[in-house]
Amino acid sequence: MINKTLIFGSGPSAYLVAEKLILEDSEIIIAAHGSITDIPAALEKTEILNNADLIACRGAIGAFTFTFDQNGKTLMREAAYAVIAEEGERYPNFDEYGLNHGERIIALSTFKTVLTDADNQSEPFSGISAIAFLTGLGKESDPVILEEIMDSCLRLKSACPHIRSYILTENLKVGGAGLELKYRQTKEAGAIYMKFTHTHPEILPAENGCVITFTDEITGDRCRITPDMAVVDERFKPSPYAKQLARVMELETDALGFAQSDNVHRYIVATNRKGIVTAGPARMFQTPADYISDSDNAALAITSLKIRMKSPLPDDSALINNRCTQCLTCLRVCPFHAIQIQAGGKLNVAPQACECCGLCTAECPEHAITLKGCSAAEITAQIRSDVPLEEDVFTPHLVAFCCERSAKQAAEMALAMNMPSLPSGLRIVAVPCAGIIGLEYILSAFQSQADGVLVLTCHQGNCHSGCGNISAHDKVSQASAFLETVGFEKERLKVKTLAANMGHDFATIVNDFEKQISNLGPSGLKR
Amino acid sequence: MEHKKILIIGGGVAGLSAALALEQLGIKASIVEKTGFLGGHAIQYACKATDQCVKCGACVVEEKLKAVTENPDIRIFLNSQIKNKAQNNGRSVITLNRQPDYIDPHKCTDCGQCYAQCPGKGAIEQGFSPNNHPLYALNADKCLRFTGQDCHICEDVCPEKAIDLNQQPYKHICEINAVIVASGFKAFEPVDKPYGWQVFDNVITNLELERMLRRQSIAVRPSDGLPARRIAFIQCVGSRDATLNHLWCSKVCCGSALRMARVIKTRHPESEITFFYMDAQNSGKDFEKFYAAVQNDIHEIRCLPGDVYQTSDGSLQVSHFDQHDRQSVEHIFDLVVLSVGITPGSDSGKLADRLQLKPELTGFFSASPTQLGIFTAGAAAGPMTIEDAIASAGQAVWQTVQYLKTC
Repeated sequence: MINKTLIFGSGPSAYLVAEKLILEDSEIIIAAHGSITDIPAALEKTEILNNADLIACRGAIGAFTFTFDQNGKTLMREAAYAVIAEEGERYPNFDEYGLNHGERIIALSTFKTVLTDADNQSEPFSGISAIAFLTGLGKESDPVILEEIMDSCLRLKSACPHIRSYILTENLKVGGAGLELKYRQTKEAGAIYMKFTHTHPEILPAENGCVITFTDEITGDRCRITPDMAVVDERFKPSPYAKQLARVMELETDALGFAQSDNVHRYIVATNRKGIVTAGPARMFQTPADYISDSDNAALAITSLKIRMKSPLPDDSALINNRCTQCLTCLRVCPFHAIQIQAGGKLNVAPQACECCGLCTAECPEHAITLKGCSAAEITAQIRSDVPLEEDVFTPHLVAFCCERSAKQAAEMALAMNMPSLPSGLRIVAVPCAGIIGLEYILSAFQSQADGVLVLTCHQGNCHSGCGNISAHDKVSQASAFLETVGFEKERLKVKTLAANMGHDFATIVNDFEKQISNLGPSGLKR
Repeated sequence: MEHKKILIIGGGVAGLSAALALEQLGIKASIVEKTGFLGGHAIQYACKATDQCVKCGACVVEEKLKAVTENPDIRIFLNSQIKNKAQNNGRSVITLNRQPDYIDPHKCTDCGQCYAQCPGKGAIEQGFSPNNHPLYALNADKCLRFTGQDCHICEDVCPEKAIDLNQQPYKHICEINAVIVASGFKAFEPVDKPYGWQVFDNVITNLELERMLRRQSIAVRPSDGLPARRIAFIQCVGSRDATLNHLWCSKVCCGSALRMARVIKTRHPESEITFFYMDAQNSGKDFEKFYAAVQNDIHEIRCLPGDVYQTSDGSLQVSHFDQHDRQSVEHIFDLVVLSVGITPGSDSGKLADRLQLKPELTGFFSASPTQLGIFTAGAAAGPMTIEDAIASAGQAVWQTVQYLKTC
């Protein structure tokens, strides 16, 4: 079995992960998009691919094949696991403040470099007596940036005590470890903070620095400062290559394109593809302390996966049988990329990558995929059990298809914690993901005496399978359209979202639905 | 590694995450929890999603708790505290003070009869999650029997005969290789603040609102149980406060308050919500977008109120200095929510003594180890979000594993 881990990156984040994995006897390959010249001593024996541009990623956990373009030549490497540890990129907010980069109007990173080099220069800030740091004016900033600004102020104070620091901001982002204390230290060191709420400062570039005019929000006075230098804050983005990696590996991304979707079920370093983790500024902007924590978590994740790969194969993953016509539907719908094309075109499921959501079983047109809990027989049996007998007084029979991870848990909470009691005619059908419930099951429920059908799924952005909840919504709206076309009350079918800890809401949803169905009366499909 | 044993102090989200991470590496973990329930503070939080998840992480705690309670390899000591720690041939010997399981977890079916019929106010407590088993625990401080009265109603009404109040506390000794301190935090108690907490019924803390939303999905006035239409959130109560020497931002309260404000406003659009604050702190990756959306729903006042009074009709009057008009302004609310800060755990001093740890000047434990074989996870090291606490638990487990190789 291959035991290699391929690390994408060529900066501190990648080196930290590599050094930690070496402690666990992992074989490492580092793939750098540029070329690495300053490799740390601990990584000297590591294979380094320079100028490696990822163009393809195939396989699953334990057996990935990565294809690179290296200066026009194709290069392939096999690895059991991969870590995306690319560095992020920083973009100065000159536009936000209507400024252009100049000798006296510079970005925070540039300023930090000048400060670092200050020891070697005799007069790094000659002719400068005041510096204004502009941060979070208009757009929200971040504690990572504030910490850098405050550290810069403190350094500046010791290197050039005569220079005055102004910090202009809206919301001072002290929500990071030790920042409130540092805020007070900078104030004691003479830094002047100006916070804006209802007004905006006017910032105009001048020959030597800039002119800032503003209203003091406490006194109402118009004021003007003329710092000799303006330092502009920055925002973070993933590098274009990090975005390319996410695209080639078909990973979910967040709104800014970082290689990890903003989904709480991916905490801390996981992606939607088992065996591929992401660490450091490849997944979000970070402080140096976060770099270390992320590399620890990435190394821990890979080490845990290695142990899991050595244990017996899970026997509960999806299986593709010989009814498969190789239409590739499953390959397209699997959120975890667990379905692979083997030599000869046959498809199989990589057991360790399968998360057992069942979306493939629902979409396969040949019903060629089996998975425990997802077969038509099992779901139909759940629908048909406990169907109430006809009573004199109408009690609606409700079938609620519940995602096992959210709505089913919420139902259990409602039952256990003396929340409002549930309708007597409620039948809960638990499924691995509500996204597998389509027209067939909905009709099957109506045929089995249901007066109303609920599909209860996770909130948008909270699905373990990424898009199972969206699929559930789509299927219900298609089914509703169908019911309407055939002249059946579409009000008898509803989709709602819930989380595992929403017992009370579960009770409210099913009780409200019972009321609605009571008003509608028995379903016309009842025999 | 399989023969190594780790003791985790604290059964909150950090402790649960650490236990699960160790278990995945095949290392045995035991959790010592001082209360009768696992889950810590975070299990008390409500889901704050509108139709969209707002990434508070509360559901993840639920999931971790379920995974831990379903895992037979993770040992759990409820109602237990560290008595002392000694060395024995390279291993540490820890003595635990254990309160008995007055409710036998093997017999209890979580039916709640004891809870419903207990005459002592709050003597039988209910857990916050159905994944707490037993879902009920006895609080000896409030139990009539333990305060000298002859009451055994709970023993009698339990259909499973699962309750036995005659048991005695005992000591439990365990040999372990490393300790992870995940003892969490204490929510600031704003008794000395001029906001009337525990004086006026309708002044509650953010933690109390979290519990209310978790249990009832709606913000009500505790005085009469009616929906609260006008709600004030007061931020930084006990945080960023030099008079208390609390020179830290609690980091999570802005996110918690803004998310709760948003979900209340979404469910009850007639709500009028005011947010008194100093500096709005970020909550997650997409804060810019989230904050812009919340700002449409709420009234922001960038100032902390001077005081809170109750009016003759039971409403609350909040006064603050309006910077724009330069005068004191009063607002009337049905419910005032104090966003109380995260402070060092109530027994962290005791714990530090017993484990020979040196806390930081703030009173929190250092995130980096100060004592061989003892590591810190979660809010014991300072204010953290749920996500931070999980990351910190991962880091503590990694440090533990590296340490175990050396011993």
